[in-house]
Order: sequence, then structure tokens, then C-alpha cells
Amino acid sequence: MSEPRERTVPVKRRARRAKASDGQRLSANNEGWHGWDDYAAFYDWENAQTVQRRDVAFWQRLGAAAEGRVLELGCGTGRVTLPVARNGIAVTGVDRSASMLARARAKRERGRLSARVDFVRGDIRVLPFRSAQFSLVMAPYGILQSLVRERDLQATLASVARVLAAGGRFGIDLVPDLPEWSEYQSRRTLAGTLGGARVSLVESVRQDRGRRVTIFDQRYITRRGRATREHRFSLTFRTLSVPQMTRRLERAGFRVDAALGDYRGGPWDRRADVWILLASKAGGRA
Amino acid sequence: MALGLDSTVSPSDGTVFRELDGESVLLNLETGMYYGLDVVGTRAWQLAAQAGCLRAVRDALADEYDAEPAVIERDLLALAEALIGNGLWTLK
Repeated sequence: MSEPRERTVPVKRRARRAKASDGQRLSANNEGWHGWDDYAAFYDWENAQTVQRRDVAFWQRLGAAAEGRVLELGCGTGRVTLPVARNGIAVTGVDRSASMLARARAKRERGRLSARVDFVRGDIRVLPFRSAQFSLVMAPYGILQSLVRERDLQATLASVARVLAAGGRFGIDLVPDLPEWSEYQSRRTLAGTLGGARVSLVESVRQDRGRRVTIFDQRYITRRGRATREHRFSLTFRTLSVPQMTRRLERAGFRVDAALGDYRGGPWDRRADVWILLASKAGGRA
Repeated sequence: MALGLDSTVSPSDGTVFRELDGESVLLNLETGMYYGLDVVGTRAWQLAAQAGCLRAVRDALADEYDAEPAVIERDLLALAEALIGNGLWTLK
């Protein structure tokens, strides 16, 4: 493993939010979905400065190859859902956050994509869909790393296996380097404007390397005129290696067809900037 | 109150249950959240709605499914914990 390192701009922030008071330590009660409603106002702003659209074409290609409806886990504001649907693909996005989904639905209306896109407020551990309904399930942008507890990950993989059609594909994008981040406190990492307000993000990073858990404590500070508001969140991620995730997928009934190291389809290795697993439901065609 | 086989449960007010080909979708009207149950979970829901007592649900599932009673009990209690935690069942 390489030496711990810092990044001034968190290009790999994968946004799964757990609201916490300042200084709160990770506990059994931390779940990755807490705080999404509070975070929704900043989600697109932050992504525009970090991940941008660099993964979107990858998911569009995968969606175009699917022979049936596509499901996106943790769709948030529709950053991936809507571009996939613009290619003529029928997509369902599921997310726990009502505020995120409200923004996604507004963008869907503006994009005149209502005929092809459904947004559902639901829990990815118990997906509210019939068995074998989807030909592709997308897990972009580290969504599975928001499942901090092993039982939650296992429940989610079982739930995906249930709703995926025989031969259907399951695409997973993991963020590899979070456990290697250095710990720091109250560092301003992003700044800009949002809706006429000045916005800055001040964050702290904590590591529980024994559990492979990384916690980002974040403060979004908005200034409009003389008015200042502060919004606090914590982001909690659990990072598994590619072999660890592969074993869990296989136990859940998937066959791992490929591990990719970039969004263009290059091969994976341990130093890769991106970890993508392409799996299919065992018992189906390759 | 600790959850166990002697616990009695019932669907919460404001929970909508809809069966779809043996599986089901649940809606918590208060939160607007949807949840899915597979075939066995759906059967557990139906049995609990009739019997209420989790011991009776476990016994009925053990009659209907070829699985170890201990496994059924473990899974049933986990399901009950999740349903109660999400406001879909009420513990009496």
C-alpha cells in the first residue's frame, strides 16, 4: 500500500451522507443515508467541482447495451440517471432522500424525460421492485461504500440479485483510495458561488483503518450579503478491496465478469484510479 | 420491550401493503418510503397479519418451507426488527 497522502481538492468524494454533530465518532448507529435531505442543496454544486461528468459516458454505454429497464441505486439528483435516459433508455432511480429526489424530478421535468424515468423513494437493502425486473443495475460513484455495516451490504447484494433478470448485469464503481487519505481537521477544500451565495466547504477527515471506514466531517458555509448559514454533515464510507467485493458478489449469486481500472474499459490493477466491477447474475448468459 | 418469538406484531397504521405475484411492496405513508419483500417475507407479513404472534408465524413458515427452524427464526426476527424499525409493523 502506498503512503498516506492528501489531496487539496477531493476529486474522489463519493457523497453518502451521515448527519452527525461536530466531533461525533462513528457508532453502530451511523448509516450512510442519514443527512441526505440536508445535503441535497450542495450535491450538484460539489459534484460539478469534483467528479464532474467523467463517469457518465461509461454508464451511458452500459445502459445502451442493456436489453430492458435499468435501475440506478442511490440516484441522488439524477446525475447519472438522466443522461442514461437521454439515450432512449428506460431508467428507474431509487434513493432514500426526498430532497434529492425532488431535485431529480425537477430536472427530469425540465429535460422532458418523464416518459422514460421513474424516481422512487426506497431502501436499496430491500428494493421495492418485482423479481427479475431489470436488465442492468448501476451502482455508481461509491454508493455501495455507504453501506457501513456488513449486513447492509449483504442485504443490498441479495436485493439486487432478486430484482436483476437472469443474465442481467450489475455495474459497481468503487472509490479505491479513501482509506489512504491523511487525517486532517477543518480544512477549506472547496469554494465558489451557488445561487448567488458564496459557498465554502470546510472538512475534517477521520480514519478507522481497522474497519476500513473513512469519515468526512463537513461544514458548508454559505454567505449571502451579511447573512451566514452553516450546514454540517458527516460522510461515512467503508472501502472494500476488489477481491473482497468479488467474494461478496459471488456469495450473493453473481459472477464477476470484469474488473476495470478506468471509465474507458482499461484493466484494473491495485494502483488504478477507479475500481469498477462488472458482474452478471449467475445462471444467465454471459 | 425486547423483540422475541413471544412478541406480537401488527401492521402499523399508515402502512400500505400490495402483493405483486407473491412478492410485495410496502409504503410507509408517513415517510413516503417504499420497501420490497420477497416471497418468504411476503408470506411472513401475511401470517403476522393473521396470527400476530411471531412464534405462530415461525411455526407456520417451518411447515411451509424446507429450512431449519433456527434459520427461519433468525430470519424472521431480523425481518421483524427491520419492519418495526422502519415503522411498518407495530410491536404490541
